[in-house]
Parts: sequence; C-alpha cells; structure tokens
Amino acid sequence: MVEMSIIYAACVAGAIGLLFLLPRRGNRWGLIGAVLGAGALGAGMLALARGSNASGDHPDVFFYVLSFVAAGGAVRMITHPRPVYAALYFILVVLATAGLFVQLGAEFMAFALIIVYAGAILITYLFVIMLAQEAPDDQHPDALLDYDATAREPVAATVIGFVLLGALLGVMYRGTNQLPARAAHRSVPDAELAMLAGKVESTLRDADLMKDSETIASVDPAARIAWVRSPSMENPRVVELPADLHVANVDTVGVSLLAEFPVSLEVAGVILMLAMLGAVVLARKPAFAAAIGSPHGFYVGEPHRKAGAP
Amino acid sequence: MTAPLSMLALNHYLLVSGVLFVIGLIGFLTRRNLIIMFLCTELMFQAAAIAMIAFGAYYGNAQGQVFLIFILTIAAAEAALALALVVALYRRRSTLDAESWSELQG
Repeated sequence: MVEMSIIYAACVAGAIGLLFLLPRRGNRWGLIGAVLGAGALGAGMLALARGSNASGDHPDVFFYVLSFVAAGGAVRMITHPRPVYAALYFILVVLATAGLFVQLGAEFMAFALIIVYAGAILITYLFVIMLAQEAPDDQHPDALLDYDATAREPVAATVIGFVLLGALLGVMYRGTNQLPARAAHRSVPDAELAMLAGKVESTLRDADLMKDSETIASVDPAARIAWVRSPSMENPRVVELPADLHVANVDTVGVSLLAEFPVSLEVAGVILMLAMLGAVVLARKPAFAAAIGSPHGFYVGEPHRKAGAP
Repeated sequence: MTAPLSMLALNHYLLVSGVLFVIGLIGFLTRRNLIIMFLCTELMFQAAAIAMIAFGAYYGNAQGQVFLIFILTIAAAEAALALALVVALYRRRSTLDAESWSELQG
C-alpha cells in the first residue's frame, strides 16, 4: 500500500510552500517556499517508491530530473509577476513534458508537443503579451502593475487546490490497483505491418528483395512474410521480411488514428477551421467602427442609426 | 514500442500529472492577469496530456497518443479564441486586469 499519510503530509507542505511563493509586494519568503515545495514533491515520490503494492521497475533518473524541472517551471510560471517570464517558464514546462513523453516511448507526440506548444501557441501568447503591454506610469516603466504584483485570495485557492490534489492522489492510488488487466504481451509483434504495405514495400525495395515491376499483394506479420505479385507470374511469391523491419511509434499512431478514429479526425479539422474564423471575427477592427472614431476598436452601439447620424 | 510501463512507474507519472494540474488550477484562481490565467489552462492541458500518454504506455497501445492529438487540436483552438478575446477586451478597457470586468452581469 502506498503510504498515503506521507502523501497527505507532502500536500500540506507543498501548499505552505506555494503560499510563500505566490506574488505579493515585498515577498521575502520565496526561498523557504521553494525548499518546502521541492521537499514536498520529493517526499511524495519517495512515498510512492516505497509503496509495496505496485511491483515493477522504478522510473529512471531522467524521470526525476524532468519531473522536478516541470513542477519547478510550473510553480515559477504561476508565481512570476511578469507575464513574459511566465510564458518563458511555460516553454520550460513544455520541454520537460516532451522529455517525459520520450521516456514513455511517445517520440512523435514529444515532437508534436514542442512544435505546436513551444513553437506556435506560446509564440502567439508572447505576441499578445507584447501587444497588450501597459506601463503603470511614465516615470517608472519597469514598475510592476498592481494586478501582476499581488495574488487574488492566495490562501483559499491554495488550500482548495491541495485538498483537491490529496483527494485525487488518494483516489488514483486506490484505483490503479483495480485497473482492467492488460494483455501480458501482444500476441503478434508488429501487427500493424499488415496495414503498412507502403512501408514494407519501400523496405523490401531498398534491400533489393523486390523488383521495380513488382507490387505487394499482402503482408503476414505473424509469419513475417510478404506476398509479392509480379506481372509475369501467375501466383504471388513469398518474400521473408528483413529482421530489422519493425513498426515505429509514428506508424502505430498513424494506423490507430486513421483506422480507429477517422471521423474524429475530420471533426478536429472542422473545429480548427471554426476556431480560426472565430479568432478573426473576434480580434478584427471593423472598418466602420474605425471610420466613426469608436475609441474601443470595435463598435458598441447599433450600427445603422449611429453610422448615418451627422 | 518500448516495454510496457510498470504500475509503479504509472503511479509516478500520475503524481506528476496531478501536481501540474493543481498548480495550473491554483494559478488560474490566484492570478489576476488575463493572459496568465489562460496560460494556466494550458498548463492543465499539459497535465492531462501526461496522464493520457502514461496510460497509453501502460496499456501498450497508441490510443492515448491519438487522443493527445485531439487534445492538442482543442488546445490550439482554445488558445486562438482566448487570445482573440483578450485582445478585444484589452482594446475596450486598456487593462489586462480580470477584476476590471467583475461587474459583468448576465
């Protein structure tokens, strides 16, 4: 059993640490908060590692490094008073998460995460942060704004958040014992090769096991053979698959995406297009509002009567 | 694919996921800057993504990763709409303070 008392104690310590770290004017408790928070995360992981109900391998040292970077970056992100630094710390969290994905054997999603989050979404955030900058007064352009420098109800939010964390972890560690059993190991390794005729074909051509005029008839991953049809012969001939031909992570993701969820993929495309249209409509400056000198950038009255007024 | 994840390692990844989610939640509740509030929702998406990939690795199939593709799609759509809203709100009041909109009534 995972020692839940240690986890709950770590939640309390983490809450106190985060409370010290949250932004307020003249904060001198930051270092104590950081030490408390890091110690709480370490204690939680120690309690997990010593729990005897879950057997199996421990995650290796890179997991600990990456998860501490992710948690530290996340804490710094919500406690840093300047929005630009918060966005940069979030990029750090994204990079650490991508490292965790690589640890889990999900290389494709790690790169997709970096490209989509760190490359696209965060750059958009940085643009908006820089577009919407405001200085509190002209004499001190670097001074902190009041709403950036102070947190709103820090005690209530932290207590609620860490009570939720304790409850979540308690439920999760009771629940992982009752997860539906997984297959001991997959009955046919590289079973997706049956649907990946193109990959098999290019591999066989590169290994000179297929002539240019021949085509793949079918693939049998269990027997590790492929039937190759040639125009000159009546029946397809059998070619043994090379031993180093395996299904990569991106192949399994692609087969699963297109074979199991094709409709969801179309819906995702529709959602993206609607979001693009919505963003354009929301953020544009209408020409007629600019023409009548609306100070708000977009029009706030009834368009027809006011636009026609002298 | 690599060897399937052990239950012990799954518990570790779930711990990291829960911690990131709660940090994002606390950030959303305490910060008053609109942009940082939306950044915190992205942090909560990250936490969900870690849990998704960890369960996918535990069961040794690709469905967790496929679901993460859809999560990324929704996150991108949400970011575009949220930032457009922030720009529109900023044009209106010239401030990013969420409190300045507290008198909104339905």
